[in-house]
Amino acid sequence: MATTEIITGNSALAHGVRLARVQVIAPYPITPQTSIVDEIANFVASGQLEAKFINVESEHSSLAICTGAELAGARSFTATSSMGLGYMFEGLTFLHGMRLPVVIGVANRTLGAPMGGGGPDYSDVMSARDFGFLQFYVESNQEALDTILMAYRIAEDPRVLLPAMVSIDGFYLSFSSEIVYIPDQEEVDAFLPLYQPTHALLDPDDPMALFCEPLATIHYDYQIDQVMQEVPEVIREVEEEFFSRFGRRYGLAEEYRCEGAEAVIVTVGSMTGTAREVVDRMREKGLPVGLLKLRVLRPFPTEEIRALARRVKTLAVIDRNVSHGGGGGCGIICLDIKSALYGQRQTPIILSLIAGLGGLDITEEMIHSFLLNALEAGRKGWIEKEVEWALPPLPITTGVIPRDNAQRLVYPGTPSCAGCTATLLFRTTIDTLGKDTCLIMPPCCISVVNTVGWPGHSPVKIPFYMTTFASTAAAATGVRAGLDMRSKTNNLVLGMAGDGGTADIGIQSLSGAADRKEPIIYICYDNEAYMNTGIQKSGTTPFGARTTTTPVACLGEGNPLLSKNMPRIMAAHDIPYVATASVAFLEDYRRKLKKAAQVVRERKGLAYIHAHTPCSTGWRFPAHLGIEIARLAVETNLWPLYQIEEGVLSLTKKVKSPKPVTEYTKLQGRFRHLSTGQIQTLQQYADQLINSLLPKKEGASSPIT
Amino acid sequence: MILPFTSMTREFATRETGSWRTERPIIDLEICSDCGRCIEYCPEGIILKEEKPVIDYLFCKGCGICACECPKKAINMIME
Repeated sequence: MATTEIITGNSALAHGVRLARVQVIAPYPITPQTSIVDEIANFVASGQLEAKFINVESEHSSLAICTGAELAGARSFTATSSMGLGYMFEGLTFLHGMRLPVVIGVANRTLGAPMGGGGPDYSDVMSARDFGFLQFYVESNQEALDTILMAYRIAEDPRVLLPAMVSIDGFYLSFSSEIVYIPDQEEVDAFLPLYQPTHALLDPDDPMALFCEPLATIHYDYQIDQVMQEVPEVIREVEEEFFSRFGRRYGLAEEYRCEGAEAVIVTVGSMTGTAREVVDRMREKGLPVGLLKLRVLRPFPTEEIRALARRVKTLAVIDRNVSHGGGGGCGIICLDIKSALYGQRQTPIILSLIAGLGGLDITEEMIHSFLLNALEAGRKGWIEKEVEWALPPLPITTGVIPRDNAQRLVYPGTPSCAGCTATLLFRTTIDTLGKDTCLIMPPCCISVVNTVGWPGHSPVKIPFYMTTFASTAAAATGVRAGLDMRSKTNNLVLGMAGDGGTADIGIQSLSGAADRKEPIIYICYDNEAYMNTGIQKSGTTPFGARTTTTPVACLGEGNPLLSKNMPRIMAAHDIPYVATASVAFLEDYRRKLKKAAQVVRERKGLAYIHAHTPCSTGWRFPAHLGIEIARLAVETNLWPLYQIEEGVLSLTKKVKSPKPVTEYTKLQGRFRHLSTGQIQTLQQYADQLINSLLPKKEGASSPIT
Repeated sequence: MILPFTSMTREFATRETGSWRTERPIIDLEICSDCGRCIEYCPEGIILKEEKPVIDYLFCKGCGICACECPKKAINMIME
């Protein structure tokens, strides 16, 4: 039944995916997209969407899974943003050639450091604009839902068969709630038929091979370009049908109050709403201004722009992106507009405003003064400066310095949750290793809240660099090599990452560094899920645990998989030192850190410590129980403390009479739903884990080594 | 010239997080045996070792780990 709800942009997008009956969904968490897939996980677990929901270990795999699924004839979806889209890049270039209509939801966010942070702009999608994707940019949550439905219909049209990106502005739309009309499944089914491809299909009944052939490249590209010329007509046709069924349409571009306008502001995405208000107010004062919203940027709405350009004196283009060193220095959309209008008989003056990068507000004042400039330029017939940047003053940041700062390497007062045990582990790590340590971390709770912390200053007084998610051990390798080349050999290089950054997306670079015997210390602080993005399942999430991507519902019982044994994987690399640790046993941890520092200083190879850090927010327990729960994990043998030195395994904390695992699970909301059978599985896991660590008989070597 | 702005910095500082607290840990020094467990386990590291442990309320978020871990139960959480 059709309903009207007040939901976020991410939720609207998820409803679109549900209604489109997508068959394979392979998401990977990244802010501000994650709640799209959290919601889809719930749809699947509650039986509202029949689909394969695959929790993957990186965006690179996420897109490869969607590609494979489409090649096998299934409709697929993934969502990402920012660096996640960056990590998909090579996969993005595989879709248009094979004409696979994968739809990707992108909650826009800046690419790169140190500018990026969490703010939305179009640097992510704009960098993927030349990969043969249809690119939609939506203004509202309703438009997000509707555009997902239309995107599948258009992308899968036999005349098109191209991948599509649906962009919603991160934060502005992804987390803002609006009224959204959610259509009925039957209505959508009538609009969007099943995907039944024949052109690129891996089918044992009719074998086909898909690979690379340089001599054919230009032919594929030419064909795709011909298709792109036809796509606007398909979009118009599909929109008409959508309008007749649902009563809404958006166009490739939308003119707003452009009748008799001299100056028209050109917008994309959520800034359009602000611009509409400004145009309304200026119109009330009799000023001849209007608005052109661009909804589709690939294919570019050349026809719509040419039609408008003939009637106005000035186009004032706002770009939430930049092409550094690009022709004329203007924004990317402005470049496209200039290109679309070049050689036309009557062309307006085109002004460019680069604004809102990093997600800064594009304010009414900015738009108002830009339109006034545009009006003046149109009347004079020229303008001195065609490109402007909206540069608001930098925020003035004030910090405090603790009174005992001289003794501290890590200041207190960081924005981590109250009772964060990872913060305690981090502080203990840095205090033990000392000031001659270079710290490399990927995005994770600790790097985002404890080291980057508050804007404008760092609460950690050692050299620190936040690298990309997949590259901690590689970046640490580089820093080690660079320091060595500068003869700074007496210090330590420390890579530290969460469980997702280690066991999932970071495992390739970690394995490489271990294999090369890089003299670095690597610490995984394991809070057993992606906590920084809001509790998604990782490779080390324990069996049965509830996360947002392993929900508990009629078809879901929490995580169906046992956790990945990272210490054993690292031990298989024959590195000189592997250990487990717990935040409840800090003296044990300090000894292991010192041992790790010793083997690294002796240049024997990589030292790996895997430490348990309970998370009150993600595991759902009261903040004061963090240490108690960590202790219980050791005492129930779910987290045995041991080390493997040069291949020799020894338990560093022997539990004489282990407690049942229920002592541990009963304190945590993430395990509240566990059935007797699930508890038995967890108990067996603990029993087998400790048995695998105990010597089989006197003098026998450990089964791990 | 390269401007370092705010995310490339040699400024080391922090903020006060004491206002987050809903409950304030109070150490009963009569009972405290000075074992140091509260100092060891405070996630923010703001229980300072003086003659007896002293909590820096400028930063204490009130998580209650110190009270939970105290073997003498010498720390009480009092509503702010």
